[in-house]
Amino acid sequence: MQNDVRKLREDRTLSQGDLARHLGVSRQTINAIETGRYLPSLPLAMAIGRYFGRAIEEVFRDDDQPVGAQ
Amino acid sequence: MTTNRWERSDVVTRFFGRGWGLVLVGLSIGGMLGGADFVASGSLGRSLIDVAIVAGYTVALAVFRARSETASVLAGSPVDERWEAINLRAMALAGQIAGLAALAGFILAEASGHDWSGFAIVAGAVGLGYVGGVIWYRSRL
Repeated sequence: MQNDVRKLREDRTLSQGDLARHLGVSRQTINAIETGRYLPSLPLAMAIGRYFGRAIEEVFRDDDQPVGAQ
Repeated sequence: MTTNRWERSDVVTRFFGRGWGLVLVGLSIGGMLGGADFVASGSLGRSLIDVAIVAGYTVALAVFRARSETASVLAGSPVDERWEAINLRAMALAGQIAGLAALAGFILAEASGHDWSGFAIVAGAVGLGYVGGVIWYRSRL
């Protein structure tokens, strides 16, 4: 599973700590999600999508799905 | 829907989420250990050291859990769902190790002619706990 969380966060010039505070999780958890080490729960994934104004599938992708394909 | 459903879903997490819960458990365990040591040895000093070690550990966790995510897990109150997942995996690993250690102890004690009942009780508790957990959670997850 790949995701665009880092890109979306950096586009908004947010730090990992800023995003973590908005979502109510730890900074380390944001880092783990961005690097693909941790796959968030559905509620957290939805919260991330909602925060960036995107659908979940616009933020998270299957590895089989080509990058950028929607 | 909230992103921190895990906070409400686990009775143990809710209990330890309160600092007094952790300290209460620490003092209770320390008190029981100290009491058992006092009954066995009659030494009040040793008993107090038992209580102080366990109580000190839990008080330290209660203090540092707000500053360290790792301490928050050790204190039984993970800060978010990832740390909750880490906590669950660590507990599962500890349970497997406890079960294997009890089984190995049982086999070694049996082979060497020693009393194996203590190992059997622990291994039985681990096994029954696992089966009970599967039955409990299969209708809830």
